[in-house]
Amino acid sequence: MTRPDAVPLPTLQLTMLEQLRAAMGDDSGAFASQLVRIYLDQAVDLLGRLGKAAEAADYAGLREDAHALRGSTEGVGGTNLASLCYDLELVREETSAVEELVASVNRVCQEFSTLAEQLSSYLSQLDR
Amino acid sequence: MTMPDAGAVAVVADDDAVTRRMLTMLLERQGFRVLVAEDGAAALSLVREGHPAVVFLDARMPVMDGFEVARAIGEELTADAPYLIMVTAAGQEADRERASRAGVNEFLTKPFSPSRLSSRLRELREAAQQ
Repeated sequence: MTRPDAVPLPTLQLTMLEQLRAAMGDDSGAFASQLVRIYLDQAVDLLGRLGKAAEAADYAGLREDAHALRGSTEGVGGTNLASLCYDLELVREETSAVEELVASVNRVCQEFSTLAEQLSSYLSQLDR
Repeated sequence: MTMPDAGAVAVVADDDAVTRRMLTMLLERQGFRVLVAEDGAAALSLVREGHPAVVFLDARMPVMDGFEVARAIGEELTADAPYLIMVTAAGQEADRERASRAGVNEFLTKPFSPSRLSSRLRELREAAQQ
């Protein structure tokens, strides 16, 4: 589903992490912190693969990695990034040139940077 | 199939590390001992060896997908079959019919609510203890 003129979704919705903390009795944020760290490590790998897939015009690989990144991003509440990943899952060779793939992946990378900053900021507040 | 008492075994099979960790945390909080697999073949091995009471299966996994694993479990474990919960991404609801035919008992759609899942695990455990 593409939303070319749509307003971007929030970068981070804290509902998922806050619900996890509540379910785990996670006053210190240790569980949330652990989950975010796992996410950030995995996401960096997936972003690298997305970049290579885009440059190689590997549409199937790109869709698969975008799907993987969407799933884990949703798990930490990265709503806008998850939406951008979903758009990448829909790319087809017939309708998306390689240059568009690369541009789309760059947008995904930029949004990830913003999400990573906000996640780090959230964890820092928990550590206080 | 009923859910187990605390201390029983759960298998979590998903190629997404975030999902694996979140499910593991929530299950351990409910007293389960959790065995973890990153692909379907490893999941099936854990089910054969671990005699779990509940198995969470990602629909899409490497080597063997969740449907294949569910079918294999149904064929191999006619007695003491575990309770199967399939984890699907939003937009893959069409997989539900296929999953039901493969013997899946329940579905969990990502992104799932940790609160609701915790409540559901508690419900199932309480029902088993009655």
